[in-house]
Amino acid sequence: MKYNRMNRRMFLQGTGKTLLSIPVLTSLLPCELWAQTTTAPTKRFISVIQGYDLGHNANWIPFTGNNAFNIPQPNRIFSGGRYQPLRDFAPTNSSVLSTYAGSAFSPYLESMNILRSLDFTGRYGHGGAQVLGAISADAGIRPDRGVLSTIPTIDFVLNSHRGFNPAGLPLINCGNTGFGPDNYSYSSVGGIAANATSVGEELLRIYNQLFSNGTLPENGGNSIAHPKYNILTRVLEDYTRVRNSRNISASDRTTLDNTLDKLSDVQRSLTRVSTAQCSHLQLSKTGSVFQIPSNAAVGRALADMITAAILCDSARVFTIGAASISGLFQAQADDHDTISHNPFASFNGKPSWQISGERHAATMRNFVAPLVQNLASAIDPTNGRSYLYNSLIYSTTESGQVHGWGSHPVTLFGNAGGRLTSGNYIDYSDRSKGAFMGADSDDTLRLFSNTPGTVNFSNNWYGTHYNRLLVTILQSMGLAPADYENDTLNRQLYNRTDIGTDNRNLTSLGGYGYGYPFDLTGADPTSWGFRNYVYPGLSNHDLRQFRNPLSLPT
Amino acid sequence: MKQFAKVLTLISLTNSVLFFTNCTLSSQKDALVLVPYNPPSTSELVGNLSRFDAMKQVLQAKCMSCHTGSTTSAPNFNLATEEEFINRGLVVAGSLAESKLVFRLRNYTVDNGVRNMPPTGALTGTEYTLITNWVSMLTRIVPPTVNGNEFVCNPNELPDSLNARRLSKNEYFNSLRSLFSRALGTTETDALLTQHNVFARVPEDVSITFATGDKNFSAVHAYEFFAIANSLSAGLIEGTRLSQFVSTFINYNRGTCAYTDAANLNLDCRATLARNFLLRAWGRPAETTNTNMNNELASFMQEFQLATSTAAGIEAIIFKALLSPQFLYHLQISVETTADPQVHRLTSYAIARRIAFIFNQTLPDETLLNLAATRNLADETSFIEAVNYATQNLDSSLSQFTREWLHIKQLPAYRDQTHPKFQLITQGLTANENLKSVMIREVTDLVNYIAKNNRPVSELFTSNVSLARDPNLMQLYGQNTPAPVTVTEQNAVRFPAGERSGLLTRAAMLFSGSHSENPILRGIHIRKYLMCLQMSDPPPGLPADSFTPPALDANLTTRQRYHNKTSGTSCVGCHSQINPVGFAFSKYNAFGAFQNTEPIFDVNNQLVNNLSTDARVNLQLALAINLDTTDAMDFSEYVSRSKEFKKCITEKFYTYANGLSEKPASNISCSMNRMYQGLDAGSTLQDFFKSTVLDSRFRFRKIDR
Repeated sequence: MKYNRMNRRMFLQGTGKTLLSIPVLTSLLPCELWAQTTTAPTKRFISVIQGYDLGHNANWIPFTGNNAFNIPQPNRIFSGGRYQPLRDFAPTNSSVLSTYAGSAFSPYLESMNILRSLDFTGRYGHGGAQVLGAISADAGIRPDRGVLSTIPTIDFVLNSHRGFNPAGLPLINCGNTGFGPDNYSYSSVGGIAANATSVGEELLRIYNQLFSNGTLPENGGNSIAHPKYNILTRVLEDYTRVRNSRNISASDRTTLDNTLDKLSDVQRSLTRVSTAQCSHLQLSKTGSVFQIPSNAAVGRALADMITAAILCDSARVFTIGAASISGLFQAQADDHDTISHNPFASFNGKPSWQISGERHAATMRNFVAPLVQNLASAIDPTNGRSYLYNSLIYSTTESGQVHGWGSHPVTLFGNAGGRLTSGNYIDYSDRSKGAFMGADSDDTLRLFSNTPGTVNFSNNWYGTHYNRLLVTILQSMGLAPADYENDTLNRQLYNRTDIGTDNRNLTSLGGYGYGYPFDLTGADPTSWGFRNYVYPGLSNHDLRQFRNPLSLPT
Repeated sequence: MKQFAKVLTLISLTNSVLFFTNCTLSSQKDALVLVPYNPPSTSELVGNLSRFDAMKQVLQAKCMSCHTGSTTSAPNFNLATEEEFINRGLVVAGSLAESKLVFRLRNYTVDNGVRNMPPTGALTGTEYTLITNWVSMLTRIVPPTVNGNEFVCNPNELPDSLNARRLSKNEYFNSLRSLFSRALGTTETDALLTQHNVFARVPEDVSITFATGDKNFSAVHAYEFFAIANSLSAGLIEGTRLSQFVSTFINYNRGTCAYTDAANLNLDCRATLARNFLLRAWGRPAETTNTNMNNELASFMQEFQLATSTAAGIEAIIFKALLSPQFLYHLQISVETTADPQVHRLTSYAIARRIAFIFNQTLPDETLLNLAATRNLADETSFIEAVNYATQNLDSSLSQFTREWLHIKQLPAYRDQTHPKFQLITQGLTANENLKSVMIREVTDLVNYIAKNNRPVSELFTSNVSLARDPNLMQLYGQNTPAPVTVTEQNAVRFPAGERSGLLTRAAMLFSGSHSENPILRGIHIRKYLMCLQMSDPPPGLPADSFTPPALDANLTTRQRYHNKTSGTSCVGCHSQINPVGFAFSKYNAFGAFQNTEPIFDVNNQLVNNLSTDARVNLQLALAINLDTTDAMDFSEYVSRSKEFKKCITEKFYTYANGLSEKPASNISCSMNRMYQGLDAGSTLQDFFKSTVLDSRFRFRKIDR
């Protein structure tokens, strides 16, 4: 990963020793230097998850026509695998990318990453919260989920992190109950994992939550500053004077610079309404998040609402479930069982995998695209970059394959304030290792071949662990490992000592995110569940990389 | 550097006629130990000749008919030193898998490869063990001593850098508590800190050494320190607290200040209040001129001008002080220059603050501040007086050190509680979290007792004094009388002869959480944490059940079951070093209760037998040649004498006291040399801790620009 953020103190040191011999007061700096010293913007994280499964082929994700969406294998090599600039696949009406995203993303390819070959530790499904962190969602089907009862998903971790969200702004879970964010966003309130309380699926309820029933100020609203805001300015000036003391070492100075930066971030968060840009427009459309795949106006209205909320700083984490579970497609009673589980069945002349793919593509066009467009065009005054640059949007469909662990589909937008590079299609697989087989809930229903080129999907090239994406997101948002790792939260695979022989003598695991919530402490390792759900994930990947952020092309 | 050496020499000469008073280290002046530094030769780096010679006899008998060096295919094994074996690539110290001399043997079965030596057939088990143990033990051989010391003092050694590091969680909390207790008293202060949930809010320290070694200042630290400063500053001006705060801090040194209303102070009283408060919050007076860095007092006085009231100004001053680097950090900028521009002398206040945090984990109290104000702590006599004062109460600091050193901050979770054996061994006990807490407390109390009563360090391993006061723990120990509140040599409750001595035999060190003890973990714990002996990870390719406890057996004790499980060729190399250490504690069950016989359960979890326990061990392969011990007491006594322990605790406490984020990289340290020498001479525990600061360099700082 490339970290572009220029530390403010590093910058000041680079401006020359003469500056350092006098107190570095911001008022003494030329305007252009001051502008460059404020490079730690407020960040936002938005996850958009399309419920249920989506098949994809050997060249990965989602192909929505009879001709496979066939992004060729990337042609360039970097430390993490292979990559190729997305502009090489510039979507025109006939290009491969247009079938997935249409032309809506054409202007934003440089702000976008498509990642493939991120694999889970084990099988999951049914809106399981592994997508954002940890646990399976369906207690009836996954009776052993309780073993991970205290692990919150990363949206909760971020939102409750006082450095990321000092004012304690609410986490906005919006989507339909049951199969929306309720199913992949988990707090740990009450000891056993508790689902996030969804704001609901209705746009009006989301609007009222974000804008306090419409009472937030309109254009030009006054900034609400913490009573200690100004005193904190003088605290920071004291730090500057001490760090300029002649009795100080280079190491002292670096230490104080870091503290100064962190306290500056706290101070910056002490104003609730950040700029005069805050403007919550009248709600343009009523409707339900549930309708996003089929109603572009609903998708745009939600995108506008979230954009306004970001400009008003009324929330920093948004978790959106654009799920549709039953009865929407081809009059199927349950599109999970009839469509997702049967990718080669046909309805009204379309294979079910194509129906799933089209639904995901519709969510991308109807909601993600307008959101990206909005955030790319709004400038964050804290650093003069777009809100898209300062934020991170994560879009996915729930599963890589039918409850499979291989190659989860991941699209990222934004740069997290410069912490992430972008503009690439990135493949983390090592195809020299071959491919592995996907399987459904029993051994008789093998939907995916490990032989490329068969009529069935066959795309499970050995990749890297999906958990690294979660770690990447958390770190890019400014969290340190100590902020999200501890052996209380992560007890399931934390410091395990009994899985080493399958993983190059690995004796310690830690970090955020898990695969299937199998009780390793009590399970019979020869049981069906272990062999089929857990073991493939453990044995396929080098779990020593479990805690490391992903590499990104520079 | 040479200039600094001259400074130290001068100090040494100046103080050559001064001796400690009231101190058992009276024979050791605070002068430098000028031991000539001679780098050890390579051949000395591996030095246990007995083990080496034994191994060579095997080579002589089984290999040297061919390995004479006459052909390149059969390299010469007739080498005089261990160094030669290493340099010629025949062995890699500590690694069987990388040592050609081992992995080519027919006996070596860990992984695939050519195993065709000797051509005439495999070695005997004993012969193989002699070779593998020799290779394994090469890892723990330390650089040679100089004049019998494990550490050396280089006369040209510069003082430490003392770079800024954040207060640890405990130091931060203790500092807040001691600062505000002055005005509010401890009860009211504790209520205030509890009300704002202060302790829980501060992030836990994360360090591979000790909590004091965590230098990280994260976004969470920033926010929590801000939030705590915000809450406490507001809370301290509420109601009667304002007048308590004002009167306390003004009255420390009232000067010409006269006031009748705490909410309406004149300029003189405001300055007095700010000056006195900052002195206590920082452990030094605020600068009042621009001579050094800035007019610190003026910076705080401006808050009164900007605030809407005196109370709001006081709130702002408290807030600023609690967020200031002078409070949040060990920041040694209160210094004076020396002849060497690279080396600064700490002021008396800086020395007092450093002493206070090492020995008391908190800010200096009034006595230390007065000493710093009225005496020159760079001076030998005054310095020793300050150290003697600060070490009168080591409880907080020693308890923290002990918990971290022994890795008993948290004991294992309870497991298998429904197992009949668990129920049998916990009969009469309440197996809850409190039991674990009192187990830990007993160990820290024992260490504090030994320090406070000026007992020798060796009593850490030999004391039969019980510190159990909790009925549950007393029940576990079979003890009827609780330890007195203040334990002395005279009133101490003692364990029966032959049952327990020292901390290794206390419940916290023996507790497994389950119904069965694990001698391997016990052995590893002692070797790793108390003796600092390196332990390599298990080799790859072990069978799947290698890490599960051995199956229950109606005819075998725990010791026997573990012995059988680890006696295979691929296990015995390491386990011969680990197991005997754990087996020495076979007379203690999984909760640490003493047992002459062990209840034996079969595979159906039925109690079927009672077998005698045996704690006699041969430690020849584990620790030293010709070493046998009869029981845990005998073993503990050996540990107290061992150079491994002495070296280990020296490094550990030095690391802890100086907030190092990793263990000292070198054995070149005048401070550690001094600590080790005292330890080797039979020092008391208190004097050992004192010796951490007695090298003259402690009062200086090296500044890297």
